[in-house]
Amino acid sequence: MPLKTETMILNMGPQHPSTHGVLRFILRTDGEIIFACRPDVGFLHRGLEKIAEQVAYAQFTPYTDRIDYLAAMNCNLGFAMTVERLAGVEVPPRAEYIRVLVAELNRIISHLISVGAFALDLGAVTPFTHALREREWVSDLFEELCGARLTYNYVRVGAGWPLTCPRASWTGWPASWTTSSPG
Amino acid sequence: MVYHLHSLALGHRLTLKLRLERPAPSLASVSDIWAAADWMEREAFDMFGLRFDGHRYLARLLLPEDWVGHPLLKDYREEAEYHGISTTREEAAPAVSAGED
Repeated sequence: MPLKTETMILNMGPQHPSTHGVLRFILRTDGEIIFACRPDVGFLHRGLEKIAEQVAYAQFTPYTDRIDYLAAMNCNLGFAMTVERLAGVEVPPRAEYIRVLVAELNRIISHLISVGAFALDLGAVTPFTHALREREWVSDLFEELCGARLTYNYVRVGAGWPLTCPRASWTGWPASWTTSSPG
Repeated sequence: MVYHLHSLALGHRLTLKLRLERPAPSLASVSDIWAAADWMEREAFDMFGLRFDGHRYLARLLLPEDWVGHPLLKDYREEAEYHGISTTREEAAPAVSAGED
């Protein structure tokens, strides 16, 4: 005689260890089978566009740190370049070079988290610790540059601040970084 | 409403612009043609109040379902409270005046 079964609705999240943040799924399940799923997003929505309407352009830069907090330099840069284009402002070549440097370094350490966390999701714990270790080198450089290790607020509209860095610790780093990483 | 269309197979690019009338702007959904438009249309509904006819589930995407108004409209005025939680503060931070720094 077959067992009597029935479907049920299960709320998964918004807090759940497998979601990398807050995300709610409204699941319709039949035993162990999920046959319908409705994602409910927006728990991290902060209305950045609306905030941007209410502050001066320069005051919005710290918010761009939080758009992608693993790539704050790049988000600063996108916003700064947009305002500069609107205002018809050009930044000096030195600032252009520094922007390329910090954006590329930030891209590399952002990818380290991405690849490391991907390995973690596959069940390999150790690569993530390697990825975090390799980030340290760049995090230290950024800390020297602007005082922050994650939300830098560094690339400003008009490239105004602070161009005194990079200093001595920024020279000779590529060779030591690439040779010190066992891979 | 602006659509940016690009054909990967043919390399064609096409931009379509559609002018909509207040107070009840509506247009046909394209989510049955491009599935990726599903959530984008929901966001446009959520933030601007656009009605997409034929959308299979035109609910707010980011804001709570009982939110009042569509915040990215220029004439949007925020309610003073949401479920008893204040949405305003008495003294907003003063804006930085031009020429400082």
